[in-house]
Amino acid sequence: MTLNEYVLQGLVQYGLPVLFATILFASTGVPLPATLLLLTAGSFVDQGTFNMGWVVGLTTSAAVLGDHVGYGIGRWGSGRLLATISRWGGGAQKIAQAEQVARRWGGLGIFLSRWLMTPIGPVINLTSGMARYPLPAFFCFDLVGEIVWVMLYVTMGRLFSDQVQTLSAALGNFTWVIVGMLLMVVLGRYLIRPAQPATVSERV
Amino acid sequence: MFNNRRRLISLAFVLVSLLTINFAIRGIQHGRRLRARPDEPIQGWMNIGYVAHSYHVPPQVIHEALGLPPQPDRRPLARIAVDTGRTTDEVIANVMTAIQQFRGARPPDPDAPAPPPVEPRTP
Repeated sequence: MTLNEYVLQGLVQYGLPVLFATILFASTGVPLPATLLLLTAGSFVDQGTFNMGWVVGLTTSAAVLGDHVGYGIGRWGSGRLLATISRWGGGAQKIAQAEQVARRWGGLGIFLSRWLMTPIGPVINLTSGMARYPLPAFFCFDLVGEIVWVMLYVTMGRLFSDQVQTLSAALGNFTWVIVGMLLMVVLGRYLIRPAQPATVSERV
Repeated sequence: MFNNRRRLISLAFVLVSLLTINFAIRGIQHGRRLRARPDEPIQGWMNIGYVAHSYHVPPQVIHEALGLPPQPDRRPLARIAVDTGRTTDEVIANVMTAIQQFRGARPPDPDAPAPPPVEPRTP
């Protein structure tokens, strides 16, 4: 039995507590099939097994809670973790730059990574915390983004209630297309920049 | 140093582009399948209600096939298999047979959309 089947079986057998726990852990970055579960929950709403209000309320709460765990780890996590990420990212200067970027684009980045580019959501949580993005603003963008995600996916699950596996596969692929296009823009912007002259040490 | 970095980023750009195209093709294929609305393969996590809903058959058809009383049963098929001393594959096979028999016995739905006309091929 695959992980997806295992989690789906849990949802069918135990209902909303499994939905809450899975979304909570998935939002912190644990690789669990949150989207598939949300679509399936939408299908069960359509069939009258689950109540729409409970699904939306519990799922949004779990997602927001999980996102804040990630934010908290980034902001108040151990200095050792921060030092490692800082070294990996290029030192304190780069972290300061990341902080500036987060403050400039943070709101939009947080909002879009909740529902449109979900694979990068846990990373954005962590970096928002590390960049000390203001917590009230993070909460607001996070909440609105998660409500959009939940409503969108539960509604699609209801509309295609007999096709959740195919729908999940299609949406999963398109999500990665959007993430890939974003990466292409970031890398492309670097590549079309005029080449900088080599430094003295590089010339020697 | 600078050229090496640029080369690496170019390579990453090409790789990301290829992966993105791959995901786009797969997404379009799944989207087309979604429009065709084929039957989803029955799996052990599904319960009787979901299978009946997905295959557009009354739940009683599946209850009868599995020898279960006609009461709401939320157990997944895999759980039913364990509880009744069968394998999940056996349970799924029983359910599939019952669905096919029901569909074979049922008169065609007059509201069902007509199949698309076959366009004549031009040489």
